[in-house]
Amino acid sequence: MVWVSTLTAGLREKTESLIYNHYGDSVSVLFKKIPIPEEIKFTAEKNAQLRFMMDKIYIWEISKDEKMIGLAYLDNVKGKSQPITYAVFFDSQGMVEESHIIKYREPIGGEVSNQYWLNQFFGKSWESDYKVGSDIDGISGATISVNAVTRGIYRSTIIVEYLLIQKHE
Amino acid sequence: MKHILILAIASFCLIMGQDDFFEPGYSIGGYGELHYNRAQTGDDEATTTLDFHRFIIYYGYNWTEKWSLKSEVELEHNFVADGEGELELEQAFVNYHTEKFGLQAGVILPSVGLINEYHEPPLFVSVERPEYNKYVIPTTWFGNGFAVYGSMSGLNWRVALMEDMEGEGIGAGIRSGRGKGYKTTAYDWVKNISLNYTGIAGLRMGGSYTMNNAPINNNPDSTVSFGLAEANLKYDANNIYAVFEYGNISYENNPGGYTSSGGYYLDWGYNIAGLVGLEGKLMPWLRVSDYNRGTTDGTVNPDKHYSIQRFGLTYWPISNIAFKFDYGTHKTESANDKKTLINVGVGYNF
Repeated sequence: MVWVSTLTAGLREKTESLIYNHYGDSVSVLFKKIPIPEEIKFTAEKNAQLRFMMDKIYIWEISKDEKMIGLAYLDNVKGKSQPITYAVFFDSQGMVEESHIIKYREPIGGEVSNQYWLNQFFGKSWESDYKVGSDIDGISGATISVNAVTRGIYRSTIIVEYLLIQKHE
Repeated sequence: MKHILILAIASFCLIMGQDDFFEPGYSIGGYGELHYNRAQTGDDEATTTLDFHRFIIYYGYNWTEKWSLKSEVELEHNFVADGEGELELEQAFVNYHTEKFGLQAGVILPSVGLINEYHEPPLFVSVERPEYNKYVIPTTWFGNGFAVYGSMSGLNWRVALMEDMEGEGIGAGIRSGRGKGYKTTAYDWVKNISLNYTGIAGLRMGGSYTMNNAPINNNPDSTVSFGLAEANLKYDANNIYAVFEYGNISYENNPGGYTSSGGYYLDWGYNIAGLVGLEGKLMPWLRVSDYNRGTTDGTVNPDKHYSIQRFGLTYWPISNIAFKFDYGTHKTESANDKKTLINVGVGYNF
């Protein structure tokens, strides 16, 4: 089932602008707000050690010449006290190509928005390691945000892998 | 009419509707640290203490996405009685925050040095905070006041106006001049301006200037003036850990007769967890520090001049917990009364 989206407050515009920057202006995008698939939700939460804040996620299917070339994923994780809205752009195989913080709402820990830190997730998938300190560099003074976003991106790779398998079946 | 009303409400919801990721509510956090300290001066018998040094509870409440309350209450040394231990309201401020700038009003921290605002135990390597962050920068420095801040492209700025310091407490440093929000004065206001840059992976570098004409015994006509200038740098990435902080305080009319004080410390460390096949982070480190608490017209008081060498090993099984060990010497220039210190500790934050 697909819900009519109400992703406003500039979040959709910002995400789609980044999508076109990354995948190119000639792609076509199909936006969906979907319930988190029950079949994979528990596994994703358990492996990433992070519960979903909401029961729905946001997906953009990216196509070029009628062939799907990637998938963009938007969700939230809880920072110290407020949600951090983040987006992950995948290729058609479920590998992370780019990550972005779409909205950061707190005065401390905003360094997770810096692209130099997010670039560490390039090439990662559901099979990768995500340990902060060894696989992912921490940021001094932003421990909670670093852990939350890292787990959130890991969780997204598991969901996206599942969605891609469903798509191909 | 009824249909028009329903249509109007539906249209309004569609226009105004949003996936409101924000939900009003509270959040909690905190940190704490247990310390074992062994100190020996010369051939004297060593003293040992086991101290749950700090226990802090953070409580925040978000009214809206932009308006929130943030607070921290600290219990030091596990109890408060007969002048022992401390119970402090270390932070309690209303915060207005947007992506570009923000405001804070209440009990706030000045932005001075690396540790005053970011003092959770897993963020520094030693069991105790560096002495520099006690006697040069009086960490944790908090008080009543207001702040505005903002950031752009990795450059972060903040301006704070806070309660006066207590002039009668200033002498060999400004630590004893902290009012801690207790019935403080606001004749001259502490002015604190800071700038730091966090736009390169693992790097944080910045500096600040803080000044005040601190009233002596609440008398605005009799003051001690000071200006604290400091610079700091921290690099923590690619298994490398390096910290440098330098600060200098200049005084006018200091009751102790001093015209300046200050110093530095330097930490180096390297994460060897990968080399030894350990999960988490394991770091041997080294600290060199030199600071003075009192210089008069360029002449350092040898009783107030300290040099410190220290090395240690810190293990973070996860980034929120640190087990620490360190060993070092601490001596004054005058009597060469060399103190040997062994510290073991565990700290956490959440």
